[in-house]
Amino acid sequence: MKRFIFLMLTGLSFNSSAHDYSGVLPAEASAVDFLGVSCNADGDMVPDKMYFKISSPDTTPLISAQIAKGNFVTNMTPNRGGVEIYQGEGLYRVTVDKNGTGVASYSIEYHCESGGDHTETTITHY
Amino acid sequence: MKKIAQKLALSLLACSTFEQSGWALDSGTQNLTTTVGATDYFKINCAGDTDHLNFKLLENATTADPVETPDKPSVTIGTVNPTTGPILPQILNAKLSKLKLTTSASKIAAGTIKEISLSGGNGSYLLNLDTIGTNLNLKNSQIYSVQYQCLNTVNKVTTGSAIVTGSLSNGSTKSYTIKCSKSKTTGDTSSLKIKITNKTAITKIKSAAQVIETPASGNLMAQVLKGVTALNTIGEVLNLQGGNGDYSVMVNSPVNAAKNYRFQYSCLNTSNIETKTSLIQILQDQ
Repeated sequence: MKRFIFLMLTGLSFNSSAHDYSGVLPAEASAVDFLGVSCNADGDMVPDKMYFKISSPDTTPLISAQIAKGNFVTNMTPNRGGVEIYQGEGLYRVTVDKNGTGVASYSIEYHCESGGDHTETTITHY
Repeated sequence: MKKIAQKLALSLLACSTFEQSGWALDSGTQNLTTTVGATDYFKINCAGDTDHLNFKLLENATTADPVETPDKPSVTIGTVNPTTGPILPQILNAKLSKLKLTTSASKIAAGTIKEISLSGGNGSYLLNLDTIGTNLNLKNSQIYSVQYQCLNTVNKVTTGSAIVTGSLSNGSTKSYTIKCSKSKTTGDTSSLKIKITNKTAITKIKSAAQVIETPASGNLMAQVLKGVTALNTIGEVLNLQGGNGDYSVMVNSPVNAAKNYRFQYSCLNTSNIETKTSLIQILQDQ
């Protein structure tokens, strides 16, 4: 089980291979940005994880993100470093939301990896 | 994995002991730990002609002893009480026709009366009664009476005037043929007037528990997902329009605070009438 849900807080910083996405949530408390990050194989490099980090200058309301794949989901709050989510190849569903009314902005950094190598990574904003 | 499976089995067992409160299902008390990233993950299946999932997150909700709660037929059918979901009485529908002429009375709730009239002159009228749209959770047959009068143009009785009584179980229909003709004293029939009384006793339902809410603190959030649509809530009712199928529910804390919570959920059609709602399936318990 640990193999599938292992999370590791890391201090990885932005690098030139990472992908970035920025968004602004509107005022209503029910607002959600719903994203799909697709991790695909690059040749024979099959991704085993997705790296994800969220940042926000806003603390009221407080932004958070959920990353789900299969029957696994984890919650992320801004400015706490990144996580490596070992859920393999495929679609990671990402929701970004907040705990009250008010406009809030955020940026995320994400990329798919096979071992230490980056693999094909695409994002869709639903 | 074994531990999770045991928790799942226990949770499903616990859920199966809950009756509906109003017509919304209740998750029972759930616990979220302080572990960083902790998220509880659930699946709810909607079937039938579902239009949307109605969902309410209750933070720190506690329960009182089970209570007998009268079902209130005075509540407009199809409205949704934010706490209890839609309140639906037993109902009858009536349709009166003669050749191409038709009139109807729908949603004749238990304990209420409705009248209909059809201007079809002399001849045979057909009255059909059914229970479409009734609350199927109440299994008892509905008792009714039908009082009819054949009337001339000045509302004097011609021929055919009587009261009949009967009962109708869920999913059943009944038909009556009423013949109006010319009276020697009051002349031709102009219309047939029918009064339908739903004499069914107003059923009292027993809710499993009365939920006592506390105001949302913003320290607990839930997201409901279906397909490519998602909504977030910290306690307010949300309706996610996703049709039939599996809805995902995620519950988490933006400040990693331990929380007890429960949620109420109901699959509803476009008229806010309950369709078919599964019990929750726990995918992840943290």
